[in-house]
Amino acid sequence: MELTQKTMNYFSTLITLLRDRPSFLEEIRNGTKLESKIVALIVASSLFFAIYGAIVGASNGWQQMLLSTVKLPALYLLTLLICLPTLYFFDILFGSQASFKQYAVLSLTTVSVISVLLFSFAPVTLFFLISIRDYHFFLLLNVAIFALTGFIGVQLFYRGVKSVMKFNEKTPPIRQRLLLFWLVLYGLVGSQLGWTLRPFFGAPGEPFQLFRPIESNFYAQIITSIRWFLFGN
Amino acid sequence: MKSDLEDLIISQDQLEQLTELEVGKIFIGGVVRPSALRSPGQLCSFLVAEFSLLAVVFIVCLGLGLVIVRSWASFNNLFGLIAVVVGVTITVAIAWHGYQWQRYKALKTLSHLLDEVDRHNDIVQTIRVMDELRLAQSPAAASSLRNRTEIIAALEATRDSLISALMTERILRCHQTVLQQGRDLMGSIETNLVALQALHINNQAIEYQQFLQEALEIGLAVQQEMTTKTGVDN
Repeated sequence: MELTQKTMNYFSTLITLLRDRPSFLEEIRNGTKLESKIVALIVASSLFFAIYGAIVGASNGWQQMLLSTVKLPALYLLTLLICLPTLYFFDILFGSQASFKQYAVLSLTTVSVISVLLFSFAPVTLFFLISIRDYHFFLLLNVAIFALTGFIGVQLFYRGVKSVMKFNEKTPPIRQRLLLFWLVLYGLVGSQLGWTLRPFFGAPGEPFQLFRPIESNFYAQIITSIRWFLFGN
Repeated sequence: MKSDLEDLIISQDQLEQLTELEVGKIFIGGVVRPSALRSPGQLCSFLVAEFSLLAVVFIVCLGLGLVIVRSWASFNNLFGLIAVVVGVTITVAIAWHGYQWQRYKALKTLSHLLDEVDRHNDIVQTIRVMDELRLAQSPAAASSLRNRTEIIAALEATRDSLISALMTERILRCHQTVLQQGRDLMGSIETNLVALQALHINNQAIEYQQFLQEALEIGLAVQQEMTTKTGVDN
């Protein structure tokens, strides 16, 4: 009973974020229960990422599945860990009054929303994993899912920051530009880290690999996959 | 719940306002409450929280480890990397417990007071259930109302003592030097304890005697805790 209650506490924070965003943002603005929000969002999002990681990893055996279970949450949490100090220090330099914990909760809301959206796509991914054994299709499908969920998460973060920090006409324009710059930086760091940590799902017929050799880059690989998918070469 | 009983409950929001910390069944301000570890259910809950956090630490460290060893051309020992990451996670766990213990020293009094608040709230809940049972058995329930007044008075005194004690504790915690306001609140706790003792003596025979006894015990525990705290700080 207690165990269920504790587990539910983590998810109830996430459900509050999804259901009642204005109240959640209001609590962040007032600094209400920030520490417990940080813990709850980290734990809940890690679990969802781990589940999705396990599904995409399952395309290439149990070893890849176990590794992707760890790699996917690590990818999102490390990206945040790398990028968060940049946002915090630059924003306070240009007049923000918010605390580091408030920035941490806000950025974790992005990660959490992405994790929930990925989790909601899990049955679709699982369906295509079982029904279509095409590596390039699976790769493009996942890139599309990651791009879509990332876009929605980042958009909510942008609106959340503007709401919590009470952006208005008097807010220096540089802070808004800084926020947009940070979002681009977050995307670049995330995609590069993802490229460094690959494979998340192994290529068919190839043995289990901890890493792929560093070759080309993320964007070149996407173009190759699109070409393969459309023209077969 | 009857409105007089509703007012007697010390809610979580009130506790957080009084202590200026996040208060839960297991943690206060991020520090574990020792009383939570005595109940098997809450111990289990604490272990889930700890395991979840350590799992996240493990995941992040392993991810970081993978990024670092990525550039080592000759690396192929995944189990060695996992062993190092497990070692780091255990070190983090030990450091976290050490930090918890350091912080707990400052929150020991508060932890004891919160246990008394839980006891107080439990008594109020029990009376509520008894009221409902009586109402179900005999809707008139006139005889129970006569004795009920005393226990409500006792619980009001207990509630006031607890709130005074929590405020005193916060002041002492926030300002290590003893302030006059702290002494005034301590005086209020002692006045309420005298009132509780008088109620206890006058109502030895009534059916709520057990609750009065408990209310008195809470009052005594609060006074003892605050005397120790102010004594230590002096």
